[in-house]
Amino acid sequence: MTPRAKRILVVDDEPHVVYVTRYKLETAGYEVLVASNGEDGLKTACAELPDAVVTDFQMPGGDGFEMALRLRTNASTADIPVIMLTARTHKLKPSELGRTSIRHLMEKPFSPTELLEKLTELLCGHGQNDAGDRAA
Amino acid sequence: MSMFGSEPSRGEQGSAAHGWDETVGLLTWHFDSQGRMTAKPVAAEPAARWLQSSSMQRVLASNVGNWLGGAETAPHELFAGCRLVPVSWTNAGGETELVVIMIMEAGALESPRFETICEEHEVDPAGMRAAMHRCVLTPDSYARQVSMLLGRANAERASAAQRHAAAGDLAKQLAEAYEQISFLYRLTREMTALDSPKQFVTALCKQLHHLLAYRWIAVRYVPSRLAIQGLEREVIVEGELPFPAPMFSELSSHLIEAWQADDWTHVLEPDSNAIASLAGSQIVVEEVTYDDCVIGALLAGNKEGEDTDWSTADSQLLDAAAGILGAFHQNVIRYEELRSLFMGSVRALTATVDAKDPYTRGHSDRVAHLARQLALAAKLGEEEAERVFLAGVVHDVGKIGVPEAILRKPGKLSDEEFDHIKAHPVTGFNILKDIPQMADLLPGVLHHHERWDGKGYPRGLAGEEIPLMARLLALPDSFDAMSSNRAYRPALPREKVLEEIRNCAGTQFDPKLASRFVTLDFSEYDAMVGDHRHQDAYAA
Repeated sequence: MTPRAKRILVVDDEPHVVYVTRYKLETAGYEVLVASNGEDGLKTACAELPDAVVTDFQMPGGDGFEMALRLRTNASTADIPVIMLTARTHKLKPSELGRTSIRHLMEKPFSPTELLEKLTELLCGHGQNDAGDRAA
Repeated sequence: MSMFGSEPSRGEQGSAAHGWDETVGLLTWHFDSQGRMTAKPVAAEPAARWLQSSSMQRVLASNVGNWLGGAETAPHELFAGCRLVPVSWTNAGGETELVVIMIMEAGALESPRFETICEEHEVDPAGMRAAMHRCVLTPDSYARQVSMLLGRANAERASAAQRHAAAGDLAKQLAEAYEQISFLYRLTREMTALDSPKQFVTALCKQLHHLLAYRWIAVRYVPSRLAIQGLEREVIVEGELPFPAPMFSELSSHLIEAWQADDWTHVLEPDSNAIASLAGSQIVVEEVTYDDCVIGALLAGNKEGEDTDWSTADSQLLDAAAGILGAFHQNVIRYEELRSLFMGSVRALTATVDAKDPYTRGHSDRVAHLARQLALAAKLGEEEAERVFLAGVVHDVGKIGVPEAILRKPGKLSDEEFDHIKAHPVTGFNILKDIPQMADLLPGVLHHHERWDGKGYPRGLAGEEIPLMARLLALPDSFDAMSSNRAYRPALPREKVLEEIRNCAGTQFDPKLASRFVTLDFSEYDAMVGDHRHQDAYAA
């Protein structure tokens, strides 16, 4: 069986960010799930158990930080790494980050290439083949 | 689900077409994206003789290209009632594949044209009719409708594929725009690194190299009156140059001469330019200007990947980066001007003090120098040590207020005279207190005569109550005083001075700092003493 593509949940209320992120990740062989706010993101994450989450910070209808907190407290999603995109004005303290699954912060405007590199880095511990083996 | 590109998990999809013959039960030909036939109809003789004939191949060959490319989507009518219907789709690799289906009306098998075909292929019409029966859809109107329906669906798919490709291009362009915005945003924020211009330029090249598909990115500065220290004649390269760096340096000078001669081109072609010819590739050049003068150039060469031609997007980004380099240059120059104006003012102040008391000439500079050495030995950072240095330069500014007669008096001072001397830290503080850039130096100026045991002046602070900057100044201040000739006594030998400092650790001096101080390397200090003596002799 062909290895299962890693699935990334992208949570952002700005369609152009989702569009670009989706393009970048799909052309790199990832499968992309999308949600437009933290509330939906949480539901999708719990239902689909993606391999990683890329989320915006501030969104109407549940912000990304709150979602990351709740992902951490839910046993089935606690280990899903999260990359958070933030505007420069939002400074998060290490103590705050420690209570979430946020593994990396990226400032907006972000470089899609760098996002892809970070994701690959975060996921390389359990690469595509491993996931395929498990799925098989 | 996927909007763009491929998905490994769906790799199987591409082969779905091969089940057509069985599932649809019609005669089909399959073609890959290059127009190569990958499967042909499975048919028993005598039909196979016709279906696989060279005339049939010719008909297919003349249509497959247009069907694949989307230029034509309608069925091809072989003869009345017999059509070749194209159905195309996009496989997992994003390429278009094609299946051609033969659909016949029942009447076609009875037509004179069918008889002719049988004759041409020397087959028995009855056997042929039986073999071809599986292509027939009845009634005839149904065959026509199915053909039209498939043709229509094919046309819709082709136009959707075009829109999809356009959307893919758009996403790619948008992603590029994101890269550019993020790059420029980051650069403009790093532009404040005015202290280390080379570091900024190197970081800029590194980021461009990461972002663009060029094998090398370089910034070449030319000799110019507008050059800034640390960058004049510099060649900063990120990636691999296809020729030795010194050669590049020489060649790029010619390039900038060409710009000055108004013969500038943004893309050097290998057949008309020496550098490009050596590189065996186009080189994109953007000039870096300041004050309407070219001070250097940003170059990118040996583009890699599928398309090795420069793109407008590359050129725009390099142009923007060159603009930022120019603006950065301007900031550095302004910053240098401000800094030298500031340092000039500080020197003017201390020169006034030196003028009043020839015995203390160079004292401030030497104290500043040793205080910086001591700060670094005490594990302060470079920046803090620089501030300690500056505090050393200005620490005795208050002596402006002490009458010359007292400063130069050879004998012992009266109490009243000594009170004048003791006022200089406060006078210095008052002179400098309104200069915002010196606010952090004031504790050093005000308290450099405090003693560890609390018996100093002006406040009688003790131990760690005395600001660190003042404790750092107190040691070199006394050291230099003891090491110099004074109106009232000759200089003491080095050993004696150090012994005195050791003896006074814990009474006059911070004991930890004192033990560090006596281990400092005094060779540069001694060189400064020599220089100052030389200047004295010259002045005399």
